Amino acid sequence: MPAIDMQGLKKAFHERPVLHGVSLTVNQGDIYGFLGPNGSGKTTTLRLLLGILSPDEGRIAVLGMNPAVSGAQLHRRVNALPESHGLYGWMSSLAYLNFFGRLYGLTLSGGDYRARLRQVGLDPDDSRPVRTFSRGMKQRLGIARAMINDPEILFLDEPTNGLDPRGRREIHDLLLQLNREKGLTIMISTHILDDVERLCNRIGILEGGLVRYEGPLTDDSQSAVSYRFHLKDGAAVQSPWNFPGIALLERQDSWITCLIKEGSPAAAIKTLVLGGLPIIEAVAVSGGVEDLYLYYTQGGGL
Amino acid sequence: MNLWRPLIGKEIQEDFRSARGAFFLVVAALVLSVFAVLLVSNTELSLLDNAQAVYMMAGIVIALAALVAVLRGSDGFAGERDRQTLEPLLLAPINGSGLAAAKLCGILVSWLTLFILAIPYLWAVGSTGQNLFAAILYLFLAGTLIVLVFGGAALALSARMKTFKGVLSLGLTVLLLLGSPVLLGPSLRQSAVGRVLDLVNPFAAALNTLDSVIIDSQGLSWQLLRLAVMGSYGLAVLWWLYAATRRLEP
Repeated sequence: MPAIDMQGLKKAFHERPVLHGVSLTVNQGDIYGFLGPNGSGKTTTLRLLLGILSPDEGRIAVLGMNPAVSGAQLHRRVNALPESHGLYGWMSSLAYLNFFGRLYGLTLSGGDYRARLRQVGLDPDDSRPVRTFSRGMKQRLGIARAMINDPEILFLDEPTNGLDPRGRREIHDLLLQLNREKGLTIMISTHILDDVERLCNRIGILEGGLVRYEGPLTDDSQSAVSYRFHLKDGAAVQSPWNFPGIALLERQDSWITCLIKEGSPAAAIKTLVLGGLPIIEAVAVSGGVEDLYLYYTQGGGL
Repeated sequence: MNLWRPLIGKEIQEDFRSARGAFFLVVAALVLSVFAVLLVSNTELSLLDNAQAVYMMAGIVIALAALVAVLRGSDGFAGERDRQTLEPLLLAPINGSGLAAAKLCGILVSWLTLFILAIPYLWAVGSTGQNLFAAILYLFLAGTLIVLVFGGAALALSARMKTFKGVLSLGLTVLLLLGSPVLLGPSLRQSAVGRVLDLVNPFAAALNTLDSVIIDSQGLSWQLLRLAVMGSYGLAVLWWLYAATRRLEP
């Protein structure tokens, strides 16, 4: 059973549609990067997954539960770090964590809370009010709060926004450690591609209220590249295009541009040639998440 | 209920530890001090009958209670939304009604603090007169109902409206509208319109209860209708609050 399964989700605010039918799947243990430009509906999607908002149409299952129906039950098993930290400035870090621990009905000892603060790199003896913390410290405390109930899925909305490179690296290391040691499924909404490349094994790209691309980000797919192929003059391109894992992006004269989503370029070329395309020249034109992102957020997935 | 406790605790701590809470307590103490000093030292006011002085002081406490209720209620959800602290609360395994109940308890504790703060002032202006005990008892009763009505209504608005300022503006406007008929002259208040306004206005019901108890020394049976009016508003507001917080959005 996937950790998250969302099909055909639609949501509008004041009759202005934000999501037009979003479908995505996140497997247990994934670190899933949810990419998209500002205003594309990432935060709305996360809130729907958390049951904070209700969808207008579509089906959501998070750990097999419908968040809109079983919100309180689901919240015991998942947690999230919103883009804003949501900290009470007048509390100390220990008091803040203690407050949320009790709000979740947990019976943790003082030592447990202190250990959790240490785990995210905060000093439990620091009794200063949270409002005096740096942004990085606030982010760490937010993560400690989001981990308070040992969730099975952690949702993070722009977790490294505004952090310096060292702070970002530390947050990355922490999340990778949690994923490795606890098998935590993480869904990260971001438009910082460095986060995605360092953390994620799968991504979904949201643009204009639709998921334009969803796929793995393993070593193979990291080599997801665009290639331009020169075909023998007059060669016809089969219609409809029927090469799984290879998307036809553009055709111009005797050149075609393809996105090789799965497998190596060599394997893809072999598939195309065996499929009847008379390729006489192949040129790699791009690669990596950035190109994938730019391609799908510029209407390429339409 | 177990999950409400930390939230109620947080609401109470905010009253004393956050700058806003401390500021309000100081302001309330200052207002009560100024009125108490005026009542005992001002040439004209010091000529008032002892019961009149207690009634005036109790009226000020009721007005402050309604103000506290509107302020705290407006801040309840909309303020948390403004400060972006609402979303983590919505992620906790407690539903909207539970959050509302905890916040309403927090508002009632604020009222209790104000009430305790007011007792020495009531004693100072009315210790030598009659009905002081009844005044304190009915102040508590009417004040609690008023706080329930205004605090609950502000909280319900706060659950639905986006900004603290918006809720506060609307809440204070309603409070002023309900408070203004109290300022009508005796003849107008004795007219049919005045009587109807007095009957349906929870704020007027609270002040008339105190008037009846403190000045006219009337017993519980005389207060039942007014208490019923306030209680009915209280129940209606509780239902509204429940409906408004069934689906809270960040």
